[in-house]
Amino acid sequence: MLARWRDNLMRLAERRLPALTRYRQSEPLPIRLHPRRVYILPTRFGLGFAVLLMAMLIGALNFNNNPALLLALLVAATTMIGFHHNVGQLNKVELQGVAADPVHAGQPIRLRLNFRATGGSERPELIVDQNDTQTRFSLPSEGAAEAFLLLPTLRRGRMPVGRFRIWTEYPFGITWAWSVLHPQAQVLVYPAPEHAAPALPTGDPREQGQRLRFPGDDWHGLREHRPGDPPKHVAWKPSARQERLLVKEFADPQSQAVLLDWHALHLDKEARISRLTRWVIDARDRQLPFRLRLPEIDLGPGIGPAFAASCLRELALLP
Amino acid sequence: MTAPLDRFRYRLLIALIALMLGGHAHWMPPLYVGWLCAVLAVAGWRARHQVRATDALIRLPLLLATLAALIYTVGSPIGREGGSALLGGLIVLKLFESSGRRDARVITAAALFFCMIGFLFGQGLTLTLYFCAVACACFVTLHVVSSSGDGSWLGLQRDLRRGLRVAGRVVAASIPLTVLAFVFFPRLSSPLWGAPWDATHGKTGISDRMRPGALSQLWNDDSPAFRVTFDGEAPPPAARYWRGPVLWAFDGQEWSLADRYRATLPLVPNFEPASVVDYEVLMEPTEQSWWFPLDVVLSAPADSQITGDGQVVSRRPLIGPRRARFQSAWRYQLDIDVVPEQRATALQLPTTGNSRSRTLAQTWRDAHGNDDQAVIDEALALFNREFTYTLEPPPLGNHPVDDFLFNTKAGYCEYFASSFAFLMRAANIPTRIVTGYQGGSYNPSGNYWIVRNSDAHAWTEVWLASRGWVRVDPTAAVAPERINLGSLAAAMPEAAYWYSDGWGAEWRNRLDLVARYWRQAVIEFDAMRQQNLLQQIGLEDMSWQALGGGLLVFGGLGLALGVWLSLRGLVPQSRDPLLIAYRKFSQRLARAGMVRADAEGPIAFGERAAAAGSAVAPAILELTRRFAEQRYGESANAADASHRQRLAQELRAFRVPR
Repeated sequence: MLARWRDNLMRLAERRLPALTRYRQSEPLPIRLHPRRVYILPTRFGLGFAVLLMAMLIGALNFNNNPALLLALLVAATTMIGFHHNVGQLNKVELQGVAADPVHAGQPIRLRLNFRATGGSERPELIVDQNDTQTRFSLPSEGAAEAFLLLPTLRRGRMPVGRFRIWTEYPFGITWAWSVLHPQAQVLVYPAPEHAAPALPTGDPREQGQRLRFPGDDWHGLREHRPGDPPKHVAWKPSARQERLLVKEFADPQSQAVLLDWHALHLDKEARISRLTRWVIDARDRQLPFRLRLPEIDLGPGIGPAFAASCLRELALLP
Repeated sequence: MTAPLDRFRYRLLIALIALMLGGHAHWMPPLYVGWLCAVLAVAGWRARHQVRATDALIRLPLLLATLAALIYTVGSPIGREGGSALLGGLIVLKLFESSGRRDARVITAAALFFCMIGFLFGQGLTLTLYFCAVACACFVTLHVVSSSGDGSWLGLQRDLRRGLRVAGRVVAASIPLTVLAFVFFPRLSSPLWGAPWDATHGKTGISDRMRPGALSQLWNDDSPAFRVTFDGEAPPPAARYWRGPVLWAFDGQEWSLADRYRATLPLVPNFEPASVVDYEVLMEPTEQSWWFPLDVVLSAPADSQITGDGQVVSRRPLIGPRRARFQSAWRYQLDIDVVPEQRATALQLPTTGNSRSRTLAQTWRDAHGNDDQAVIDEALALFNREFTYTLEPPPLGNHPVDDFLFNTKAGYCEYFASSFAFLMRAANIPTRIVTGYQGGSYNPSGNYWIVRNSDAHAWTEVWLASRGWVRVDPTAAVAPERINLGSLAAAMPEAAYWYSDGWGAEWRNRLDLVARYWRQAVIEFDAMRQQNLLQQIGLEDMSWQALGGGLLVFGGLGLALGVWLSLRGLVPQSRDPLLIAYRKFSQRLARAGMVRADAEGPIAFGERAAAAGSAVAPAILELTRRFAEQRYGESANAADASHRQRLAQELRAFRVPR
């Protein structure tokens, strides 16, 4: 019996109050706000203000004081028209995209929410919040703006951005209009690097350098210079001819790259990921070429931030 | 979580409070206003670098000092002036414990309320406009306080400009709504509770007792006491005496009714038939029992009684506004043969007190012998010679009549009536005091006379042989203009002169026209006028409950309309005539029992429908195929408009045979 009532109530709510039900589920971007999914409630000050307004009205009526009644009605009418302005601030606001630069788990991630407004005037004092974090931003009329929100991250992998509330008390702080934004968007969180991990398994870096310096004659071609290539690899003579920097490429690059091997580590899964993450970061920071061998994929050899980023991404997405 | 207030917003708040106090400066004692301004200045100085709440060690002395200033300048913190002054002071002091946005909002709301309080002290057009402007400023402040500034002067300027723009726009948009609501908002025909501010000054209106000085609150009360519509011509101004309680008994300080006598005798006046008038009285609530008919009353409503001394007493108190018809004659003679018992009551005086007045009366009596009229003339001549009319007379001592006649020599109707009656009784002329109203102003637009509480008056009646009770108005002897112009004009003759003859007269007349219009259109717009207006647009006899119900219904309809308008654009309405035609086609099929499911495509639906409705199956299939081709097929984008048009026509023309 109760369950049926509850079902009926939910169906009614679904039909009439979509922001309480349907729009709480995630939905694909872009999300465009319209009056049907913008709700308006008095603020606490607004409740007090309503009581004051009632007192003014009743007092004016009781003493048959028409100018006072006029003032009270003017205030009441202004307040009511303020409701429309309040909702109008959110109407036709569109969330176009959500993006973030990846961070390592445990660090706060900085979400970039791309909003755009069509029509209406400037929309200042918009607030986006999720749990305890909130940010203010303003949208120009017919323009776009970004809101930045710092969210905590806990685990590696793809993180759904979750549900936001967008709200504003504009123009008078008597009411607040709100709507729920739950975009189907995910951001990438890299695994947390291990603290105090063993050093990168390179052997002696100087020896490594020696080995790179005398690669023998097994180079098989030239490629364009990339930032981070050791100067010893530059093929000076061909470079002089081409008037750009060329670098010797070797037939067996494995011999120079640091191998970061999943299978060589005897730890449990997350600890392995964590250590490999640390090593990838170290290799990236020291600009060393490295290979990453994972259970199902072999990456590299490669060097530089872009390669490191793809390695971190694979580590983050490991099952 | 409340955001802190930066110093510029704090100053804005101070400016708002100063603006609000400005509307009250006309009645507050200047010293008190000065004190509050000083406190405001201190608040501004304190927040020159940073806004923070002061601790109680500073707040408490400030509060005590403000209270002291209030009691010194205004008097008791209770009552209309005192209470309002206290509220104003508290709003100013609230600044000292404000540091956050919440406090700022509370102060702004309080300022708004204080603006409304201002209408207890005046309801003029300028004041109304001023307070409406302050209300706008309150909304601007609310806006600025609500926006998160960066704490800089430039930021505040930006917010202020935006606030002015937004609040200005919203307020401007709300004006039509305000006017509509003002006209249709149901008025209370009787107050829910009495005016608390009058409680300390005695009930307004005429009461069954009279002590010189007690009526003084009435002069400032311009609210209507009753309105009169004459059937024919109105009687001349000198005859416009509206009779209320008749006071017979005097205890040395106070006049009161003679209860024992009141109900016994019938009123049998001789009157001149030409002076008979019929009229309707619309009485404002007084919570007392007296009607105020024109002297002397001939017939009164059924639920009231005419007493022997000409009062009309309602059997139930006039709590709500009442309407009744009367007949009066304004040339009359009353009680040619006075009953001895009546005569004794009308001569009664306390045995001691006011001896100088008694002696004076006795001197007159001795000088004129039996000529009562000469004694009366003597007294009136004395008043005319040595007395002045003022609405703010000095207070009287233990022997009020002596004090008035020989020391202060200034007063208004009560003083004159009371002392005149005393002198007459001391000179052995039967006298009674009549209280009520005198005068009234004509309202040409409504063709009625309005008698205000400020028209309250007291006069006397003396009994003369062969003439009966004769009205003698000693006030008229002192200030005849009181009878013609009203109490205020009589009290301030030099102002009246400046107004009527000086260079300001022309402008004053113009301003007065505006003020009068304002008064008629707004201030006096009450339940009755509202009803008249509603009758004109065809809504007769609306009670305030019906009006409230109507407001709810129409408000609800308006709201529904607004919701509909705002939601209308949400359902995607296709403008494609082909799609509209196809919907029509689907509807026809649905009526024949073949309902298209939400997720069903046209072709699948067409096949299913064709299988069910065999008679038109080929047509269904054919139309569906062509529709799908036109809408989704490769030719969909081709500009073959005529094809699509024809198909739309065919779809619309499709019928399922029964």
